Amino acid sequence: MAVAALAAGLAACASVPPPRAQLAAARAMVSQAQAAAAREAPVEFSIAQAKLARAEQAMKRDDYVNARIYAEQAEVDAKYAWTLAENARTQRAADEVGKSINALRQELQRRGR
Amino acid sequence: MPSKALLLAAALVAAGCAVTPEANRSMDSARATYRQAAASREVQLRAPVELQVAERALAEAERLWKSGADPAIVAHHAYVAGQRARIATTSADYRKAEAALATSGEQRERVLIEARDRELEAQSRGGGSSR
Repeated sequence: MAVAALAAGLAACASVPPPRAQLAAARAMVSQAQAAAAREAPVEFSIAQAKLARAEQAMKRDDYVNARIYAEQAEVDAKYAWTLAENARTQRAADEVGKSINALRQELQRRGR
Repeated sequence: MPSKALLLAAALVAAGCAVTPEANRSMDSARATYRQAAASREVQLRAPVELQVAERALAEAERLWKSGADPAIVAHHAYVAGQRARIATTSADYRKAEAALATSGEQRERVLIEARDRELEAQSRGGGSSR
């Protein structure tokens, strides 16, 4: 609501430049995160997607203030979703390797007896 | 006394210092999230760049908050700072797991060497008793 009020206030002031760089960065990060994050961090990733969509809509309305806010948030949200996905993947791999080493140790001890 | 408080409030609003619960809450949350990340040895060690990005984002939020910027803008920058701190923490987590994976070959090797040592020891003991 406060964002809307702010936007209304600043819409009159045409000095706000279109946040093209921020929007490009948000699009790039969302698409980079897509493959891993949609599966491993679906909630966080869908928040990023929703904010990117709102940034695109705001841009179409020439509402550059909201476009910038949503684009910047979409970028960090997508990056966060990506790190969550990367963490889930590497933790799983580390767990599996740890288990296989334990299994090997047990097998060798059993045979050694 | 109440009139004095009222005057102060009026002065603050006039100064553009619209202190709202929204901005304060988001600043508190961002500071706490950053503090937790910055206090972690793992984050300092494994995600120094991400931590620095978070620190700069929080400094920008603090600057806007102190200068009495629009609460929505303050809340936005606080949100970004909090997410940057979370990114630093999670990056440290996955890099720690990556480091464990990178040494897994060595660990496996060590397990095999230990097993061979035990075997050799058992053989030499066995040889000694049969004599």
